[in-house]
Amino acid sequence: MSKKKNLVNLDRDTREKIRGFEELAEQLLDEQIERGTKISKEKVDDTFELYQFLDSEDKRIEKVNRMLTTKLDNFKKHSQEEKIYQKVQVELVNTRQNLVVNLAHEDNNIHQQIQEMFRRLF
Amino acid sequence: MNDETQNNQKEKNRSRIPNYAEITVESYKVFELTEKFKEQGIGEVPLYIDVSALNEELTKKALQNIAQSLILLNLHPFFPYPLYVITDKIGQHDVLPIIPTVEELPAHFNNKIKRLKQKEQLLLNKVRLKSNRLSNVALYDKIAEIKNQFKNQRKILRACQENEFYEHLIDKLNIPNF
Repeated sequence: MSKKKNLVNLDRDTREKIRGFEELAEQLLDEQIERGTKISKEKVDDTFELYQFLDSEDKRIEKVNRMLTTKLDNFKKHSQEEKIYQKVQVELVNTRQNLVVNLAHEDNNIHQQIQEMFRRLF
Repeated sequence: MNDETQNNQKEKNRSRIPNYAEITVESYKVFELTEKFKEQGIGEVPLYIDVSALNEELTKKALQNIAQSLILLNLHPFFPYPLYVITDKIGQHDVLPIIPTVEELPAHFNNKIKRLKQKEQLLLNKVRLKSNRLSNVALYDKIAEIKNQFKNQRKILRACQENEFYEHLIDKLNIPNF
């Protein structure tokens, strides 16, 4: 790429005026262009950020609204907690009985360990 | 504070991006807090009230009065927009969200304030409409219902944990179930 790319479009008089300072003018123009691009990029990012935030806010409020109205009401109307609790209670009673039966069994690990302990002691 | 000023403040809040704003109060009496909350429009923008200068006892009283004022106005400290209380004297509260310092406020509502473009303004209007709809829900009742559901689910959880513990014991006994 030509070094004097920014000065190509200048008219003859202006080119005469900056004779000897072409490199400096080129550098200054480059810096200006770079700064301008950076600012416009930041602007674009900013807008996107704000729009994203408002969009996420919209979704958040919508979700809270739906949870507190539709979902909670449905949950209350068709609650299955009591049935689940009763089922778990039945299972719990069975497991307790099972445990007692297992503990009373002569072949279980605890009995074997205790037997071994007494055998060694006496 | 007259109605016109309150309406102006509300109108101002509606056109604002939901960013943090501080509520400054001179005393923490219920009446004054109620007036201040009406003026600031709790629930329209995220707000915080800094009570970190108070000692532990006064903080407890202030929190109690803040909660009472909110109940009187039928406003909830979480929805649609939160009202945080800044204090490091108390870890948590039954009703109010507590944050130890301003710097620790959730970053979600920290946005650059700028002029809105048309599409952003439209989206903001939509958000305002939905948040107003949310304000009309009986929030305290709904939250109480959710807490009640928690209790029932905890009962189930405890029963399941107990059951699991017994099953683990049976496995350790090394005898097949019969």
